[in-house]
Amino acid sequence: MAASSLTEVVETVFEGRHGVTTVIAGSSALVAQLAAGAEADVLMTANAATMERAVSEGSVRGEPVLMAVNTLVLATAAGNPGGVTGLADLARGDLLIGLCAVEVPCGALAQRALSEAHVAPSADTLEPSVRALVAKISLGELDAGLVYATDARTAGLATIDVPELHDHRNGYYIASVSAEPPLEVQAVIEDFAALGGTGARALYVYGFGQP
Amino acid sequence: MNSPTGVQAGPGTAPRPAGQLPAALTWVGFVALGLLVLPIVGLLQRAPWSALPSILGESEVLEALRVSLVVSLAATAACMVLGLPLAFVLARRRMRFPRIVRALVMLPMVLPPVVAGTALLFALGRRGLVGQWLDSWFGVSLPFTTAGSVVAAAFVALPFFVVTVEAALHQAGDDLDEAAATLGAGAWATLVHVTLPTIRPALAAGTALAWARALGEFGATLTFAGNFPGRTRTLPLETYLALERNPEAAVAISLVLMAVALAVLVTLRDRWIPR
Repeated sequence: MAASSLTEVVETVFEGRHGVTTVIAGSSALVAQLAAGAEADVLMTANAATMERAVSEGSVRGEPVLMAVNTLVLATAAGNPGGVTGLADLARGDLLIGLCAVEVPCGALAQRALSEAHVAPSADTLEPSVRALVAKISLGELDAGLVYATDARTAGLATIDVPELHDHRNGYYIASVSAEPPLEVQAVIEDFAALGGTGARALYVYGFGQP
Repeated sequence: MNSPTGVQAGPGTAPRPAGQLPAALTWVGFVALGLLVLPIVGLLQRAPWSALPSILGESEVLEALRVSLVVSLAATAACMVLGLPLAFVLARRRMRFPRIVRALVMLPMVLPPVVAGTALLFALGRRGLVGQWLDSWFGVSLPFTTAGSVVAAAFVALPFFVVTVEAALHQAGDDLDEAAATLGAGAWATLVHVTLPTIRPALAAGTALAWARALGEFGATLTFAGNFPGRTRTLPLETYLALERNPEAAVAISLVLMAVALAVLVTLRDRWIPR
């Protein structure tokens, strides 16, 4: 089970491998599915809070490992029609601005980054998933928004590097569902958590940072 | 619906006493009812009854309720104004490719709502086929506005109204209309005094269906109009976000949605549909 922002990574790593079934959904949804009795060997979440919830609910008994980090970037519509240059432009009322809703990890991260930079955003939409936000920016319906570096890269969005965003990172965690996982499950976890593994390399290729 | 008073027993057979149905039919009917009601019971038994007043009193929920009512009622009004003429055109005008036109009208019913929303963006978005001209000529941009939510809801709800009303127009036939015309009634007088009263139950049913579909609309609204409190965040969107932060609140908000829908649908039936 993997968070939706890991879609491409998981597809790359497990492509053509028999006997591996992947379930992709939002981290909160995955944790809820596990709590409701869904069967899985490995859980990968897009932030610490959701993994902590899975551990405290007893659905994950293995030790969670931080495998990657993700940062936000300022993405603009193609050609940057709004003339966006920095975080302060997100407060401009004449632009169409999108953020993730604070209920989802990318929105919580954006809220922290913006309040620390003393920017009061003039958002026109608060999207419940980062993919939906990316789609609206890439269609040119929004002038700018804060999205994950990885999603921006996958979608080929124009981005502006904003130093203020570098310190705000989301941790990606991987854990075995059972306390004593079989060898092949341990191998999968190591593959993602240890430098040089196929999983770790795929994470890097898709723009995730090393922890 | 109407009781099937028009059904005639065949010659030589004794008419069935009213209410007698083959047993198997009755049983399967109740199974179907169970399928519809069981998930609702599931929701009810998980409802946080004691916390209900405080959750529903939250300003975000009340705001979403207001947006939901405004959007769904405006979309329903749009469905009636646009859908009635379309139903008449489909039922009464000779067309070259009637099946294709009917299939096109029903298409929004089967499109996944997210696809419907994306299609609306391609057509009416700021960079869309028609939307770019709306934007540059009139300065009108629908995405991320309440009007945009109304358009999205009307798009998915309109087929329900049109299909219901068109079926009734077909069934009613145009004998009465012709009789009225022979007696000298003008086209508008015939429409208002003869045709519309004949199909009144279907008008009510179509309106209720369209409104219900608009009220529950999620995917197309979110994709086309986005999600902003007080502007485009309807109850279904509020429920979805609440699911992330507090599943109990999500259940509570769904209860409001169902209560509002039930209240309106029951009232509508009692007032408009003859028994």
